[in-house]
Formats: sequence, structure tokens, C-alpha cells
Amino acid sequence: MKKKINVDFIVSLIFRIISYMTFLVVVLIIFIVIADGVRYFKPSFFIEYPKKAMTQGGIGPAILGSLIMISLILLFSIPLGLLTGVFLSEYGSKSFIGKIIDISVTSLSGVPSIVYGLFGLALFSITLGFGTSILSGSLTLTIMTLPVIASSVREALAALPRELRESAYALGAKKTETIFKILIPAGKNRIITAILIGAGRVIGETAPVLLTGAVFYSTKLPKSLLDPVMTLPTHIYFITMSYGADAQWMAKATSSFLLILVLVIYLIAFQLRKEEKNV
Amino acid sequence: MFNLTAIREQTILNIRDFDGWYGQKQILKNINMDIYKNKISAIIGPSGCGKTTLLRSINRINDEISDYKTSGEIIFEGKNIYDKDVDLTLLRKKIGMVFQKPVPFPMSIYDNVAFGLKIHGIKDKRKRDEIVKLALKRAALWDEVKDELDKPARELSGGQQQRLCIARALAVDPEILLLDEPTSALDPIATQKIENLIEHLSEEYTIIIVTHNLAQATRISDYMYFMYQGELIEWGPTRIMVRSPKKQLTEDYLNGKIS
Amino acid sequence: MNWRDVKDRVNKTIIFLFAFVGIVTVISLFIFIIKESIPALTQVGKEIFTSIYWYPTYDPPEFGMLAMIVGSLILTGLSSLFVLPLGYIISFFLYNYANSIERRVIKSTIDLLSGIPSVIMGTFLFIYVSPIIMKLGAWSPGNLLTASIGLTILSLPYAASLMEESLSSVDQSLKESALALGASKFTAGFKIVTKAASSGILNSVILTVNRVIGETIVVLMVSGGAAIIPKSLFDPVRPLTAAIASEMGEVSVGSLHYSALFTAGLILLTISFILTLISKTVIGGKAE
Repeated sequence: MKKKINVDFIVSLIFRIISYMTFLVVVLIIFIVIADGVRYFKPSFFIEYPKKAMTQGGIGPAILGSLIMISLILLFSIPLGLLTGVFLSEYGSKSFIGKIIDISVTSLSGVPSIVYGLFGLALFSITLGFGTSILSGSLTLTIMTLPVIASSVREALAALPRELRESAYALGAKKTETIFKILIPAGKNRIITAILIGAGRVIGETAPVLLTGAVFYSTKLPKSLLDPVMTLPTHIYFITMSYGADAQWMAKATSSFLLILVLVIYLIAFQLRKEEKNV
Repeated sequence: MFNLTAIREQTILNIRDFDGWYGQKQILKNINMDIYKNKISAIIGPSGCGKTTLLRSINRINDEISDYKTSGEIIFEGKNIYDKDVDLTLLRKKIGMVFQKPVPFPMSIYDNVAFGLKIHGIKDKRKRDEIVKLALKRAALWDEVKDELDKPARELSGGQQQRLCIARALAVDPEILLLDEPTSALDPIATQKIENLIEHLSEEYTIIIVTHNLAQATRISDYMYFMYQGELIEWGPTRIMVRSPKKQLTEDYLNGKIS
Repeated sequence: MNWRDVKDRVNKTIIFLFAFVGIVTVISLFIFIIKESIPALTQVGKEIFTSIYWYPTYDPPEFGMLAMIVGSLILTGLSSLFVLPLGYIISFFLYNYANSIERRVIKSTIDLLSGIPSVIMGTFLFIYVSPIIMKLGAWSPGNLLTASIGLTILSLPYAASLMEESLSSVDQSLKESALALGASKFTAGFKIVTKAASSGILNSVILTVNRVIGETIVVLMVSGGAAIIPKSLFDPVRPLTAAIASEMGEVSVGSLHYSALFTAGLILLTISFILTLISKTVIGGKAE
């Protein structure tokens, strides 16, 4: 009896220490990244262009670029992911076509981001002639976001009680009427959560954008969707890798800002998920 | 099985040689029965006997289960509802259904009841208001919710939600109302209210209720149908069947020997 | 057919068309990556997989990827060695020992961790961690060890939360009946629940490894970038992903170098596709 209690005591102690240390490391990373960058924040930092080899100025164009990209990506990927998720949940992974689509979406979720970059480069930039541009970058990232949104929408709809569908059918509703008027509103919170998490992930995505849409440094704002653009993550990457210690402050400050942005998006998403559970 | 009290009453639904399968497994075996207009019919039997499947075949909601197949006929308004040219939407409008678990739609109380009206194309707002009010009144819910029709339906209690589901089904003006164990998820007081409501509703609607609660079936039904292992063993007026069942199986079930 | 039927059909068609994009994407993904790889595969041949000499800009150029393939494998192996046990320990702690506050706090922190963009992790390692590793004896700011640390942190959320999910999905009564026989919580969790959850855990392992192999930015920033086969933890290494990302910007479209980088992508795509399919069948096996 006594011996067994000791096993649990020792194991739980060790595992607890390891878990706490991991927790501390994560918190420390988040804290350092945010705190060490926040001190450079001032209004001009968010508006101005970078100046004097990244040693002065701000990240205005990168913020704008990221905002344009994320808006376009959401514009494309919400209908795409939503309807794919609806298909998988409501029309079914039982038919042959359904199985193929299911496998396709699952496979897409595992493809490395750099391979998406190559694909976007070959298809959008070169074959379709969009060049290195906002459009190429956004389309590439849209494809990356598709499996994230689609599989969450599918789960959200599959979790709804069967009676909800049947009650609507029993009133004479058609299948798509049931989907759009009952099921999607009922799964709304979880669907929004999925979209937010997809957005949070994609806004920090770097590698595919390097290949398809990013410009290192630009003195003018993009005029059309076929122009390249600066984004927050590629900006961080370029500064860290190509500039010396004088420019490091900008990498820190931009990282801090991007991390805050992502964490805020995630916290909203988690809050929604929590509300969903409480209902 | 033919009996004289029944012959004078008007039937609304005739089920003839009806079989049902899930894949290879036969769930319903050669069911023959009639349902009488403006009466409460209770389908009873031990769990797994096929009573819910039978009920779900009457408005063809079981079509939504992919490997469900049927043969035989269910005659409603002189027509087999399994005929190819039947409009499912219209059929389900005429044969409403309420499920075991109360499932309010993710919208306000008003919109829940108005949902069926909207999809069936009743655009006139004033007319809709009127029907919603009437349906809620018939479902004995109006007095409790009349001041908060815009409240999300999820905030109602379980019993209220179930009455809302009944109101929602009534709003599209069905002739038959199918109830699948409508009180099994409710507490005794809410159950009592629903039972009273059902008895009241039978003045205007034909009610078919599936229940595992024998006492409930005895209390509220006019006709009783006893099923066992996919077969309809016996049916008839409740009072007669409870007092003097013709079949041994029925007697055993009524006495609690099989369950 | 009335108006409602028409609308229903139209909506259904739209849903099917949109869902079809997934298939089209996967097929065209393979077509494009393969198509662009063909020049390198035919002109360079098997040397790609057997030679360690990657000198794409020399004259004559050499396109041996062995060092980079080995670099990817070593990095993945080393990071998995860190992250898989760590992920299991944390998930086991959360499942078996943590109280509700610990569970909530640690779980949401790990969830948040999954949101940290890898470029930020790369910058963090580059600015704050590399100098420390340099002091420990590394001769370049980027090396195998730093890259593995980065990969471990980035993939930890996958490992930990997927494993925790598989442990939690095991029927609670299984654990309870083991405890009722007098087993310790450790034995019940380790020998009974983990065994019952083995397919889910295996699935977590596959998905985590897949994640690690494909990660690009962190290794690009802190792996050092020399295409050699590393002999110590402090040696630099250049995995496939980093090579693609750093060299793609400098090649001319249609050149052999360009094609060779697509071949590197094809290798990654094949690995990830196989791993995902294995994971899918593992889950499928569990469901049936």
C-alpha cells in the first residue's frame, strides 16, 4: 500500500516540475518578446516607413500589407472553408467523391508551408502570371487556410444534435434551407472560433509569402493586387537575417506587435469557445 | 383484429404490408394498422421493437438515414406516401413531428415558431404574428412567453422548450402530429403539462405518440398498438386492450413480464 | 419544380463545386511540383539522392541533396527526441495528476503557444538564445542544437494537446477499474490508459513529426545554413525546407537550380502525404 503511494508521489512530482518548467519557459518567451519590443512603441512607429537602413522610422507599410493580405485571405477562404466543411459534414464522407474530398482536405492540412510556397509560385506567380504579388500570396495562404477552417466547420456541424436537423426536415425544410438557416447559425460560435484561429495562424505565416508575395523593402504603397507587399512576418525575417545590431530594435518591436496581434485574436477565439461550452 | 367500435370512426392513415430495413437487418415486419382521425394513438413496446422506426417512417424522416429501405404502403389522403411523386416538403408540413429531446433552433422564440411559416412562403407579417400567437396558445405556452418573444429560445426551461417545439410543429398547420417519446427528457411536472396538452390537442389533430411509459400510454391514448421484435402484435381501443388483451405477449408486456 | 426546389438545387451545386476545390488543389499541387521537378530529376538523375555536394551556383553546378536530406532527418529525429517525451509527460500530467486550475492554465498556455508565429520564435532564438549557445561552444549562431530547440517549442503544442486528447478519450471506467484493483495512478495511466490510447498516441506522434519535418522559418533562421552532414550538436545544418526558402529568391525561373529546389519540395510533399495517409488510416482503424 505504502509503496504504491510513493510511485505516484514521485512520478507526479517529477511530471509536475517538468510541466511547470515548460509552462514557465513559454510564459517567459511570450513575456520577453512582448516586453522587449513594447518599449519601442510610439505612434510614429505604426505609421512611418522604415528609414535609414531600418534603424529609424516605423512599420506602417508592413501593417497595411498584412491587413490587406489577411482581408483578402478571409474573403476567399471563409466561403471556401465553410462550404467544404458543410459538404464533408452534411453530404458526406460516405460517397466515393466524399471520401476523396475528405482525404484531399486532410492531406492539405499536413503539407509543409514551404511546399505551398513552391506551389503558389509555380501556379499563381508564374503560370497564371500574377507575379510576386498580393494576389499570389493571398491565394497561396487561402489554400493553406482551407483545411483549418473546413475541418473545424465539419466538427462544429457534426457536433450538433441529429434532432436539430430532423426538426427542420419535419417542418418541411429542404436540406440547404436547414444547413443555412439552422445548422450554420447553431454552430456559429465554433465556426467563428475556427476562422479566428485560421486568421491568427495565417497572419504570422512567412515562408509561402517570401516566395509569392513579399517585397523586402518598398518606398511606395501597393497600387493594385498585382503589386508585391511588405508584411509583418516577412519584415521581421528580413531585418533579423539581413541587418546588423542597429536594426535589431525594429525586429523586436515588430515581433512584439505581431505577437500581441496574434494573441489577441487567439484570446477572442478561446473566449468564444469557452462561452460555447458554458451554454 | 377488426373491431366494431373502430369501424364507425374515420381512419386518416392506413399502413399496409409495411416492412423496413436498416441495410440487411429487418426492423419492421409486415405492419398492418389504421390510425383514426382526431384520436390519440400510442405505439408501445420494449425498446428495440421498432416503434420509433415505424413512427419515423410516417413522415419519411427516416429517409435521412442513408441505408434505410422500406416496402409496402402507408396511405394518407388516398395516396401511398412512398410513391415517387410525393412532395416530401408538403408531406412533412401535413404530418408534423416532435422529438424526444427538445431542440429549439438557434433563434428567438418567435422565429422558432415562425420558421416553418417563412420557409413555406407566408410573407405577410401580420398573418405570421397571428399564426405564431395561435400556435403558442395551442401549445399552452403563450401566457408564459408573450412578453419575451424576442428572447433566445435556448433560455427557456426544458418543458417550455418542448412545448415550443410542439408550437413550432403546429404553426405549419399539420393534420397529424407525431410525438417520439416527448416527455422522456422532462421532469414529472413538465410531463404532466405536456400530457394535458396532448389530450387537448387531439380535438383538432390526430396524434400518434411513441412511448416506453406504459402508464402514460394508458392514461392518454384512445388506441394502443403493441409492437414486439419488429412485428405489430396487437392493436385496438386502449380501454379494451388494457383490460383484456387477446395475445399472450401483450398480456406479458402489460403485466411487466417483458420489457 | 417550384422556386424552393430550384434554390435548393442551386445551393447544393455551389456547395459541391466549392468542396471540389480541395480535390483540384491536391491534384494540381502534385502536378505542379512534379512538373517543375522533372528537369532536375532527368538531367541530374540519382545523384540528387546520393551525392552530398550541393553547389548549385558553381560551374559546373552540382545538385547533391543527400546532406540536406540527412540534415532534415537529423533535425527531425533530434527534435522528436525532445518533443515527444516532453509532450507525453505534459499530457500525462494533465490527464492524471493536474488539478482543475493547473489543467486550465497549462492547457491554455500551450494553446497560446501554438499561435506564436515561427518567425517570432526564430527571431527570439536568434537574438536571445544563439549568443548563449555560442558561449557553450558553437561556432556559428545557427546550429543543430538551436534549431532543435526551436522545433521542439514550436511542435510541443501539437504533441501535448493531441496526446492529451487521446488519453482523455479513453473510457474513464477503464482507469477506474484499474484503480479499483489497487493499481497506482501511474500504473493505471501508463499501462492501461496509454495502451488503450495507443493508436491515438501513435497518430499524435506522426502528426508531430510531420509538423517538424515541414517547419521552415525557424530552421532557416537558426540552423546555420551549411549544407554539410553535421557531426556534433554545435555544427550548422541545412535542411531541405531552409534551402528552398533561402535560395528560391535568387534563382532564375526554369533553371536547373530552380527545378532542383522543386525536387526538394517534392521530397517534402511525398513524406508529408505518406505520413498524413498513415495517420488517417490509423484514425480510421480506431473508429471501426
